[in-house]
Amino acid sequence: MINSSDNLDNVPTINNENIGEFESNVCEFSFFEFLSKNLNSSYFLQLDNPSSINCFAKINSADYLNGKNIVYIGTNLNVDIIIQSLFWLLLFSIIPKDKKISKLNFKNSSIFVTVLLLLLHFVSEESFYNMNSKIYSSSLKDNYQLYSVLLTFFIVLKLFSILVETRINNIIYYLPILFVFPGTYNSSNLNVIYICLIFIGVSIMLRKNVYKILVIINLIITYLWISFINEDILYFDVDKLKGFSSSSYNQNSIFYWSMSFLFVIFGFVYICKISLKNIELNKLKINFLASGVLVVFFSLISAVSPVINFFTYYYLGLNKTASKTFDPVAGNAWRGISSSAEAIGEFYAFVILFTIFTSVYKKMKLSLLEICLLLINLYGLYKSNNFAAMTSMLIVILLFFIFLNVQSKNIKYPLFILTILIFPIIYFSFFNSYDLDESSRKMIKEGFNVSNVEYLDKNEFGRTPIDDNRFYEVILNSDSKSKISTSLNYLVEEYHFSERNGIPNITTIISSIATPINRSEKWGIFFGKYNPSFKTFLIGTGSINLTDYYFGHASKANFGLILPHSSIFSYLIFFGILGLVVLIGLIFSKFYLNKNNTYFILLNVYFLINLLKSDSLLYLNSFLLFIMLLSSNNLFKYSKVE
Amino acid sequence: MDSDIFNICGESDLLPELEKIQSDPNFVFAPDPNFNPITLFNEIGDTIMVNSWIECANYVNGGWVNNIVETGNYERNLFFGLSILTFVLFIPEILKYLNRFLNRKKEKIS
Repeated sequence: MINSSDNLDNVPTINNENIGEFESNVCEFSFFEFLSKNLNSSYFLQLDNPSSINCFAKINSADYLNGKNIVYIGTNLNVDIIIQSLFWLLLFSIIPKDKKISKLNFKNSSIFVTVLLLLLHFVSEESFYNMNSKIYSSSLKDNYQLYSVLLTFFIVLKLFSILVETRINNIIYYLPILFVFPGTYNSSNLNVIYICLIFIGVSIMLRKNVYKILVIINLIITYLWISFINEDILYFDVDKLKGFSSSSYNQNSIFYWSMSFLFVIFGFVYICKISLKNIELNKLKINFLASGVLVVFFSLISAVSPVINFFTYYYLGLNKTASKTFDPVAGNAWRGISSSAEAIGEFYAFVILFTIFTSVYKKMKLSLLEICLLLINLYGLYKSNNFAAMTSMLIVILLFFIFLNVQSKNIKYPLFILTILIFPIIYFSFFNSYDLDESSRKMIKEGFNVSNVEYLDKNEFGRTPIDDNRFYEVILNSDSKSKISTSLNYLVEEYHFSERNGIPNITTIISSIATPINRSEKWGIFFGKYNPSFKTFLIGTGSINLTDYYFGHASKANFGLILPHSSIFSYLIFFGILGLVVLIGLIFSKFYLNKNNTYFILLNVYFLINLLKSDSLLYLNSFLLFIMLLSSNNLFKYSKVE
Repeated sequence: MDSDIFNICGESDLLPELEKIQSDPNFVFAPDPNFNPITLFNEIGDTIMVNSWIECANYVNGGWVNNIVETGNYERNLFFGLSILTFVLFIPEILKYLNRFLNRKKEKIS
């Protein structure tokens, strides 16, 4: 905006006839000048990330494509980091100070370690940065671009460390705001919240020995992950996962993401620990409601104008630009400013749930303002069209009122079971058109659909063994060894042999879960692609790194971002079955320890049900909300209303 | 500039030819099979591959270089600006440590 060229009078008003003027005057007109002259023109804005500093916020050409004028705005790695960081630090400074100061130790050392980790990140994801900067180099010699980036982060963290100590007890109130301000940088695979949490995590780790032991364990696992690398993968298009997913698969990237992920968890768990004890529930509730409303508001205005769309993307730190129209994606869900309609739907439903729980707990009626805010959140939920979130929210509300109001155990538990079973019963009675066998076949077929199995012979009717459900014949084919993923191979074997002995098999179990929640196709694709060795099945391929899953096995689904559509599968890729077992064990032990805390159990159950069918944990804001929920056993101290 | 040309393009006795080229806007560079192609960069990051010594010298004479990082002026200026800011941010801490050091010395003397 500010990078003016004193050329206001020469800026043309854009139309499809004079678009050539913008093409031949690259880096000539500033964005501000362009906006001044084109307030009423019709165009779409697109970012040109690899611009030089000189061309930042200038018009870097224009195109006439598919009947639309596309205008390219120059952005630059260094300037983006400076401007976006300063804006977010300014917002952070608005968080009210707390009377109680929580001192962080080893601040300068923590900043230094964080910056070193960031250096490793920039070196490891060279291909990503080559696409976002013309002059990017990972060389450390005379590389002023890289020095500047690291110094910027050093300054940002220094300022953050000054601001955070007096505000750390209040940070948790602003967790919902992360759904409005995800904090992802435009031209880098980094997120400001993630970086600040690394800093806090390192500081906590240096203070406590338990954390140091965990770091050592993590280092050992990281060493194993690194030893599993068969071949470096240079580039994976993280798209809407930007800032919270590795874009490459090599030893440096595995090291960076695994260590930083651990520090982020340390940092956030620490914040939850010190602030959740004395939290004002009403204040948190209002912030959840207000954040939901802000998400709806920014989503709506972003769809109205391309200029607002650009600014919301840039200053809110969205992972990808907000929806440009009010039209839902693929005829159903509208995501607005969120990267995922599914994740934001879960958030809206959670806000509604949390509001009800808090009001009951505090025995307070909702004010008129709160009802209005709640209705706007309901509108957001309706637009996101997340049926699973709506259904699970309703079930949890029903369970909540059963637990609170029904005293007799003889009535309470049958009602409880009936509520849980009622939706599956309705589904299987009225909507399900598949039997269990057919469900299994459907998922396996989807897996084969994305596998490169063109070599299969066809019979005289032009049908392959897959069409005739002769799946085991496919995997017996000598060509299939490298073409069919190991997970699909396993599922087919299980399915095939269980037909003979009649014992329920894992394929049928997974399919019978997948079919009613409309995941047969997506999970079929997952199994078609997921190709672990025994070792990577046991402990995974590295924290928040989908690259090997994506490109490690050639399939027809190696283009575009096709996610596993289940956070459990995503974590199976990251941490393997052992990691998953440890994680589930920790969650259930937490449940067991708080078994009398209905509020805690039900809020977590709601989230866990949704994680089964969504990728929410791949987004930083949903991930942090999940950690907060797991740490929220002190949030509602009593299981019964006082 | 001559030293830049020799540093980037290598030694050659073709330097006098350069002036002739500059006065001829229609000059076409012929690739030299004995010359190892070099990639040159300008300050906004554009790249060009040169296939002869004279072509290389011509571009280097026009401000192109073989290592973009070394002459990224905007980045270099930014780096020095940020370095000063970093120093300013550390001034209070430096003063604090200095004060502490002086106080300790005073205590020891007294």
